[in-house]
Amino acid sequence: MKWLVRDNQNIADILVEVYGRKEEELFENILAAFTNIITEVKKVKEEKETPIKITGKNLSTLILNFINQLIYLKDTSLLLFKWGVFNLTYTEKGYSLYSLLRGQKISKDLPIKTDIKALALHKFKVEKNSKGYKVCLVFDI
Amino acid sequence: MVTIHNFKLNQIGEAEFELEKDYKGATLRFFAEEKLLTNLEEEVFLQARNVAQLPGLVGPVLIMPDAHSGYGAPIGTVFAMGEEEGYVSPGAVGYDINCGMRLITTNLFYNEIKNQIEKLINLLFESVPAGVGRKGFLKVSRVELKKLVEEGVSYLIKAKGIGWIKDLGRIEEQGRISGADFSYVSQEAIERGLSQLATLGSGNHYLEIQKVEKIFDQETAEKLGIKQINQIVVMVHCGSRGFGHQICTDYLRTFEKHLTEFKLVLNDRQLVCAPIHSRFAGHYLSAMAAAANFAFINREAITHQIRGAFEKVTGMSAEELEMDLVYDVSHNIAKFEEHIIPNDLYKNNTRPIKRNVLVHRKGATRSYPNQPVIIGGSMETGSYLLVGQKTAMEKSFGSTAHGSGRTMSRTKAKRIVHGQKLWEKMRSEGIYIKSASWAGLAEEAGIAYKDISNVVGSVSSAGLSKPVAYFRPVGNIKG
Repeated sequence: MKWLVRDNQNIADILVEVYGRKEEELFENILAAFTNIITEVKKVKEEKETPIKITGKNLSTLILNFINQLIYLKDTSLLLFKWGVFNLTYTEKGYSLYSLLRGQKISKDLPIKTDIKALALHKFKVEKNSKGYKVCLVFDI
Repeated sequence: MVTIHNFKLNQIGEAEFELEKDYKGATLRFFAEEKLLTNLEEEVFLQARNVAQLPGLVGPVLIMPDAHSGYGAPIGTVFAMGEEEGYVSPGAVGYDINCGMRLITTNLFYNEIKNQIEKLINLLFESVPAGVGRKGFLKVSRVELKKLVEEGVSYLIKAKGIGWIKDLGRIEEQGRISGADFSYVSQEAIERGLSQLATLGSGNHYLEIQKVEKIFDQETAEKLGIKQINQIVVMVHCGSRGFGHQICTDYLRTFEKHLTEFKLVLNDRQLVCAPIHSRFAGHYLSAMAAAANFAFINREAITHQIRGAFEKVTGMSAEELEMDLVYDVSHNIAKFEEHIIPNDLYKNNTRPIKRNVLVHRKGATRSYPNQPVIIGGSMETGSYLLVGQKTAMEKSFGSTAHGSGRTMSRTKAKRIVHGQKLWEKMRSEGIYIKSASWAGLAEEAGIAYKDISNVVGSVSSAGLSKPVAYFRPVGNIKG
């Protein structure tokens, strides 16, 4: 399972649990879940490549910064992404995420379901177990 | 006593309940008729109790009848922080800073324009961008955006010729919260704001053409420009768009980094706060004021487009159509105000105390005596105009409800309501909708909301505000 929408958890907004066996896969699935809340991810065309670099002192901060960047790119460049190549490095200073995101500009032919305006800190949690990672995300929509 | 989700509450007045004090913190008071109270989610009680445990509170934490779970604080929360000892909580203001309501009159009657509602809505849908990825008509530079958000609606009117001077007196704070400082707004927020100025947005935001269905207080209604049954009015619900959302996101993260410095232990990260006199709080309040002014400007610019659309369709000027503002009121804000602190609840004092406090209203409307209050309902059930009551100053820091309040998650609403079928049903009932998406429409179906008449009944019984008129939708634009 890549992600799961918990529809009985948040009345006004949306709570999603995203899974990944490895950290890179977790980011790949966060990207897909994010896009799929806004539109149908399978309908997004791979027309544009956008390189991004995100840093964070730990995995939680990195995820918050990554999602904030996705919201920023959607609002300012009208970009939504189908998938990306992720490369994660870790040094004493913290995490760095290099990614090449592939997607398209929002257009009339892309069915829009809703908007994501922010990621809440409420219930935000990253867990690691023997199967991999799980992150709980509440989006303001 | 009533027990709801194992929480024990004592009735202390009509539509007023107080949570039994088996926790440390401020008193928690609920303004709601029993049938609304018993239907509140458990999460509302849990979140409200977390709020009541914040440091620096003055007086009780108040929950409005339209409350539902949010993040950190429930939607429908009001509390006051002491100016000296208090804290400011961006999460308890909300992401959509100065999300609010605006009501505009016309001198048209439903019978005169019922055949033109569709044309009007279609035209408004083009001129007031709604949904994801649509940009507004108002293109401004960074320098102009700075001027706009620091100087508020008057700058929009004077420098850009958008809006009417007489509107200013009918906007909360005359369309400008003081203290706005653009230098405390991030580049990300500025860029999100530049691309979304003069847009409606999505979610529960809407622009609605309504007809007056009932008048409860003819004298007050007439003073506010509501004269007769079937008169056409226009209601707008939107906020500060990505500009405000980014500011809230930025300051939640900044405050969280310094949480240990503030020596705070919180039950919910979303409630992160900073002492009012800290530089972090000062920066947030300056940025929050900028976002609040952005929202006022956004609603004024949308009003300009509404007036233009009515002019085009009717061939009359907006002045001839008497498209005056009834009021524009915020329901997500923190403001310094002077209040008499409810005496039975403040540190065992029995004498009323007047203090300057930072009132947080999240999903709650200011309700000063005789001030117009706009409570927006679902697109199927209609909305109310009320006026604030003196009792609200004594009981709720001059506050009341803001809407009808959700009872069902958006995902569940989408699962059980078919957007296109809902559109057809509403059309057969005389409500023409133009929506950016079927899914967005389904999310906002009437069944996903509480009965607004119970909400209005609650605030009326509790003496927070008094109903003036009820409006029924005839046309609606949704994001």
